[in-house]
Amino acid sequence: MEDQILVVGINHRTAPVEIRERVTAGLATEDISRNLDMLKRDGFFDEFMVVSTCNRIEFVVVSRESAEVIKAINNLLCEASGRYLSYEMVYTHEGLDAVRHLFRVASGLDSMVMGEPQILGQIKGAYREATQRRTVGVILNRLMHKTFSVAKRVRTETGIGCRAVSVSYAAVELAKKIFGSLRDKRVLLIGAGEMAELAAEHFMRNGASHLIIANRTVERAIELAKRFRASTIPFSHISNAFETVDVVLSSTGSVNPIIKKEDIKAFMRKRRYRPLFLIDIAVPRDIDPKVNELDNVYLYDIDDLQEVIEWNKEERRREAEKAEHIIEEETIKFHRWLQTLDVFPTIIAMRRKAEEIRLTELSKTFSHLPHLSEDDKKAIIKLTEAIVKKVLHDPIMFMKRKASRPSKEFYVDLVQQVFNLPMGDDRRAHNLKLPEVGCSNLRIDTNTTAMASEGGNIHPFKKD
Amino acid sequence: MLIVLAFLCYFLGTAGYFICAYSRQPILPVVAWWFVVVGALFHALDLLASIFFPQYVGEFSLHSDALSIVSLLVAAIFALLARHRPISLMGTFIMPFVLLGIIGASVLPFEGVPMRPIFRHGMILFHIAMLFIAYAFFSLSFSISLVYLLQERKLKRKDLKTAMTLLFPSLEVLDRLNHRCVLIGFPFMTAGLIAGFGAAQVFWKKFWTGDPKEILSILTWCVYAILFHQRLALGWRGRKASIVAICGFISVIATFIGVNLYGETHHVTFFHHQEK
Repeated sequence: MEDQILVVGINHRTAPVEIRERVTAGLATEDISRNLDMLKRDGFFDEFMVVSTCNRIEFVVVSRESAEVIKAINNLLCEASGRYLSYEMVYTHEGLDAVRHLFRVASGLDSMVMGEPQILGQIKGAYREATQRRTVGVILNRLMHKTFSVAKRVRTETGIGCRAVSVSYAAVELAKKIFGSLRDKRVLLIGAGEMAELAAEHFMRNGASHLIIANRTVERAIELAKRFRASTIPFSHISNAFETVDVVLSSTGSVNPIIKKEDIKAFMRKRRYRPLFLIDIAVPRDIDPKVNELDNVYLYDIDDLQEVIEWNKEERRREAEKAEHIIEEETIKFHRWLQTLDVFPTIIAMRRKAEEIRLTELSKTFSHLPHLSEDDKKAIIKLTEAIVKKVLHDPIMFMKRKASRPSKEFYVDLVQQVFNLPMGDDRRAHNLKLPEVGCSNLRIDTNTTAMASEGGNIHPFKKD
Repeated sequence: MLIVLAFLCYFLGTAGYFICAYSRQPILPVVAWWFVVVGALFHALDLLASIFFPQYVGEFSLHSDALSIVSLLVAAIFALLARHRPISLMGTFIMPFVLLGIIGASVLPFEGVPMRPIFRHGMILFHIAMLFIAYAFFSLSFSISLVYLLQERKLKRKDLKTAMTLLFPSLEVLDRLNHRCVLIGFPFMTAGLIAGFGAAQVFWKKFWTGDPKEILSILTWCVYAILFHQRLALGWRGRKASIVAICGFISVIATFIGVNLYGETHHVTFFHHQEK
C-alpha cells in the first residue's frame, strides 16, 4: 500500500455554522488532540495537519491506510461536534484531488467570498503549528510550500483578488481611478449612517488624510469623529467644505437633494478645478444627478456602485478559470514530484552501494600505501568521489526520467537486478531519512545529501 | 539595418505593453521596457551613423530624418518616465506613435539636401534641437491627453466596467504628467522659435518673411502659450487642458510635416539656395 495524501473535512458549503462551531470547540479540547497524537504514534498517519478556520475544518493527512484513516477522522469529527454532525457533511479528497483541493482552498477559490486573501494566512498558521508539533514530514512540507507558492502565483497572475465586491470597497477603487492614491485626500462624510461609517473606514485605511463629519444629530457626529480622529462641521455649513475636500460621501435620510449643481459649481474655480469625487449612497438621492455634468466632478450613486460590484463578481469568476488552469498545472508538477519519490529508494540504494565499495577500496588501497601524504590522500579521495558521481549520473537520471512512466516498476526491478541491490521495498525505512533532505532546502537533491549523510558517518579520514 | 533592428525592438516592446493590458504577469512591463530601451539605443546609433557622424557627407531630409529624431526623443522620454512610475500601460498609447514615426520616416519622400557647413552653425543647431525636444514633449502630451479623455469619458458616462478594467494610470496622475510635458515643452519651443527667427535675421537680414511655416509656428506657439498660462494661472486641468493639448499637437503636425509636404516654404528653398 502506498502513501496517500488525504484531505478530510467539512466547510461552509457542507455543514452549517453551528456544527462548525461545535467541531472547532471540540477539537480544541485535550481529549481530541490526544487522540490525534495517538493516531500518529500508532502509525496510522505518517504526517498530518489541521486547517481550522471559521469556514472550514480540514485534516490533511499522509497515510498508507486511507480507508481506516478516513473512518477514524470521521469519528473524530463526529465526536468533536458532540455527535451533532452527520457523515454526509464530511467530504474526502484523495491523492491528486487532495492536492488540487488544497491549492484551490489556499488560492481562495473555495472560499465564501471568492478570492478573499485571509485563508492563505490561516493555512500558513496551521502549517506553522504543525511544524512546531512535528507532525509534518517530507511530503506535507513540500506540499504546503508548493501550496503557498501556488496561491501567490494565482494572486499575481490573475485578477481574482483585485476586484471590489462591496459598496465601500468599490467606492475606494473608483476614487483610485481618479486620484491615483488617496494619500493627503480629505473626505467629507454627510450623514453618519452605518454604510457611511464603513465607507469612511475604507477611505481612511487607504490613506485619506483627514475626515470631516457633518450630521444632523451632533452626538452621533461627535461619536464617529472620536473614532476616526475626525473634525465635525454643522450640517448647514457643508457647502463651505467643498473648497477643501476631495471626496464626499453622502448618506442622509433627506427626501430632497441637499447638494445641487450650483452649490458645487460656485466652488470649482476656488478649488482650481481639482477633481471632486462624490458618492451618493442614500435612497432617495442626496445629490442632484446634474452635478455630474460639471467638469472634473464625478458623481456616483448606489446603483452605479452596485453595478460595478455585480460585474466584478462576474469578473472574479472569470479570473477563477485562469486560476483553475494554474492549479491544474501545478498539481501535475506536484504529481511528478510525488512519483520520483517511488524511484527514490532505489536511487539511494544505488548510491549507498557505490559509496560502500568506494570506501572499502579506499581503505584497502591506503593501508597498502602508507607513504602517501595527506594531500595525496585527499586528491585520491576526490578522484574516487568524482568517478562514482559521474558513473552514477546517467543511471540516476534514467530512473528519474522513468519515474513518471506507468512502467516504472519494471525499470526499478531492472536497476535493482543490474546493480544487485538489496531487494524488498522498505519504503518506510527510506522515507524516515527523507525529511532531513526535504526540509533543509525543499528540493530533493540526492546528489549531495546521500553522499554527505553516509560519507560523513563512515568516512575514514574525516575524523582526523 | 540599424533602424530595422530598432523598429523590431520597439515593435516587440509595444506588443508587450498591449499584452500588459490583459495579463498581469509582473515581468511583462519590465521586458517591454527593456525592448523600448534597446530599440532606442539602436535608433540612436542609426541616427548618429547617418546624421551626426562628423565624417558624414550625405544628405539630411527635413521630413524623414526629422521625424525619426523626434520619434527617438519620444521613446527616450517615455522610457525615462516609465522607469519608476506605474505608467507603463501608457506604452500602449505612446509607442504606436513612435512606430508610426519610424514608418513615416521611411515612407515619406526623402528629398534630402546635402549637409552644408552652414548646418553646423550654432544658431541653426540650437533652433533644431530645441524644437525637436519641444515636439517630443508635445507628442507625449498628446498621447497622454488621448488616454485622459478616454478614461474621463468612461468615468463620466458611468461606463465603469471599462473604466475599471483599463489598467491605465489614474486621472490625476495623467493630468500631472500632461502638465509637466507642456511645462517643459513650452520653454523649449519658445527658445527654438527665437533662435529660428534670429537665424533668419542673420542669414536673410529679415526675421519675418510671412512664410506659411512661420505663421503656423506662431499659431502653435499661441495654443501652447494659452495652455501654459491657463494651467499655471487659473489651474485649468483635466478635460479642457487635454483638448487644448490635442489641438496644439495637431497644429504641430501641420507645422512640422504638413507644410513641408505641400508647400514651398523657405526652409526648403533655404537649403536649395545654399546649394547653389
